[in-house]
Amino acid sequence: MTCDQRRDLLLLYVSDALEADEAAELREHLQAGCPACEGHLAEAQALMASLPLGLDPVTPPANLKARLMARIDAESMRSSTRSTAKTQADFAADSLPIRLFRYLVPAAVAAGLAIIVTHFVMNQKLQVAIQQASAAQAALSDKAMLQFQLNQMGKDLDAKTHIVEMLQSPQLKLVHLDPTKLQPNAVANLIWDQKQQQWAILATGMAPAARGQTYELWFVTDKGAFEAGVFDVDEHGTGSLEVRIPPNIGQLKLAAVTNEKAGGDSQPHGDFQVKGIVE
Amino acid sequence: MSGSSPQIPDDFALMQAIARRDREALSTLYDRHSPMLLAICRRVLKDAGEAEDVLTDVFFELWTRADRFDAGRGNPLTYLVTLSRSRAIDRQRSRASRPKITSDYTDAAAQADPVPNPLESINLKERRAQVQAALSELEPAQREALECSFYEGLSHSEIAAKLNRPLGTVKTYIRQGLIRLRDSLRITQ
Repeated sequence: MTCDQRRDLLLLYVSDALEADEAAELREHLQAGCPACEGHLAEAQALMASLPLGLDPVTPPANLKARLMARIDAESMRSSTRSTAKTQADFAADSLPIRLFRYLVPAAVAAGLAIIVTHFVMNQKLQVAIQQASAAQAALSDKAMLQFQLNQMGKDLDAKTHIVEMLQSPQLKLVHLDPTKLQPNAVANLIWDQKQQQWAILATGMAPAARGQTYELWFVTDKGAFEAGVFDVDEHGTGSLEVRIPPNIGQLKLAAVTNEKAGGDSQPHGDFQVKGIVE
Repeated sequence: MSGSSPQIPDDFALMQAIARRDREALSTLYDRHSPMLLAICRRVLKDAGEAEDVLTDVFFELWTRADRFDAGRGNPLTYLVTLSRSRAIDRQRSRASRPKITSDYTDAAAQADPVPNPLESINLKERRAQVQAALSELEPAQREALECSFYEGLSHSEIAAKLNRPLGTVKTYIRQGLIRLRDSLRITQ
């Protein structure tokens, strides 16, 4: 077969309309590095891409771009939070007394609210930490295991420290999220730092997400639903998530958690697990 | 993107900026091409809400995986069209296995606004007119077979069954249709 003959076949190749053996032969020829056929392939792809020009364009609704940009901002913030968390851990290791002074005094002011957090999260986490410490002691000779346990406890401490920081906000709102019939034992609360525009959801008593699924928190506003982040729960049904509220997503109406595919989704497709009005 | 330059960046420049995590570049590319890409998604899915989901997925993928675009192998619009068509067909094929989408979350008042896109370049408008003219010159059966292939992702056999035509005839329709389109549009490429 000549390259001129292949030129017509390439039109069918880019439209996925070739038989398997013909497509395989073309792929093999292209992989061998034929410049003429590479040019014809680009021509065929450009031709296929021009077909939609025959359609009348559809202007997307204005809120769609806001949804996209909020999703991008959330993704950027997640990336940035991951790197910030590492920096904070390094900082904590270097100047623990200063951090204790800085956080313990104001924390006393927020003690009332902190009790709520303690009931829902810290008790569970503390028990886990004690169990982990006991396990670590028993396996003291295993340095790798001990280091792992310490890292986990360090992460827990960072998360709790940040929640205490949120509780010191002068513009704090606590929202109870109602469980649905899918989560009859769930107890979930949302801490909303209106000054820093952050949410922290603290949940316990939730059933584990089904295999291949996770829980996803949503900002529901007058413009639609925007993904906030995903979280999983431990063996006690306890989970938490801290997120920053992206700008320009509209007026917040509802906080909702749904079950979604692992890794989360861009729009909610699952069922409500817990939800609460946040206006 | 710099606001001081009077020149509108072309698609290649925007793709490079997106790879550098330039949010404004993504916004510009979205404004420029989203009407055509949304038209593709709606044509494939025949559902406005799902088409909008796929459109945002496409641009989100562009943002997170900008490195996948190879400027040496094609232009950005071709890449975006291919990505949109592919993702829409994937969504269409998986539709039966997914739970029904609840529409409670979306603003029902938001509807597509059929105003002309002021950001669409003059070149693109001319190209649109040429393609529409070339498509109108095809035999109706050729056009129908092409549309089944492009927008529905159907195989030759599936198109033959859908149009109730012999397989060989469908193959000829698609082959001749594409060659006629190529010949009609070649002088402007």
